[in-house]
Amino acid sequence: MELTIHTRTAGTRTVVDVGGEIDMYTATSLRERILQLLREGVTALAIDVNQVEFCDSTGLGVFIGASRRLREMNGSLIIVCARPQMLKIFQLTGLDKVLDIRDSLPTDG
Amino acid sequence: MATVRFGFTPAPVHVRTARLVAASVAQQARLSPDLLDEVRQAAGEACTRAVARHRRHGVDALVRMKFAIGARFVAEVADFAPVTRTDMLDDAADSMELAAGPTDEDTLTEEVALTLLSGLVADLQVMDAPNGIGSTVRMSWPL
Repeated sequence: MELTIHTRTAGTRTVVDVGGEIDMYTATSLRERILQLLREGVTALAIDVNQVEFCDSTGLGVFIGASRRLREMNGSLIIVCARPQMLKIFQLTGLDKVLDIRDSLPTDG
Repeated sequence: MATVRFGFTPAPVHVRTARLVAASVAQQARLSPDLLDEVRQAAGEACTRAVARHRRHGVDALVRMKFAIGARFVAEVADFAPVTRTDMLDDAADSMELAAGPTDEDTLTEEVALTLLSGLVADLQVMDAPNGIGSTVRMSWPL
């Protein structure tokens, strides 16, 4: 399955809805989309991965990179994830302790 | 012992094919269905790591996979990039290091892949070639 990327706003936060497979082949387009948003001045970002069927280390690297860049900009990143398969890889890598992972988007955006 | 070998040009697009091959061979070996997702993810991580290493060092040689079906299901992924780290399992980056490190994209991929493999696969070995060129990720699961 190919990667799908859609962007919307929720309150003051920009939300990137991701679906399909994030792997070494597709992660580049997700990374580029996020970098484009940051260049446009977005500092409050959420990445919703609830429609992601598969994610590998390259995808996790994209989340780490986005988190790192937003922290440098005094911004914030929320990963919206309630899928057990995705939560497992966050837990296995310990990234559940360093990324702000929520099961749903906060109501204040 | 049945053996399946597979090689691919170190390009990201072929890692997906490699994942499918791993899952298919595991299924044919009658691995427990509960473990198929784990094999698919782990084989993909090992291949992703291999491609990242080839890319970082400009190595065009094929990434090699080998599956052996005997008392256990054994998957090996071999790369042919220069060894730049030793004791890879002991050196797996922790999550804080991963989140803060200034590493380039391919190095970050390699470190995250190793961290994920360490958590995912109970029987995992990462072996450096004695001549300093190449490493092999060896994983096995019960049949």
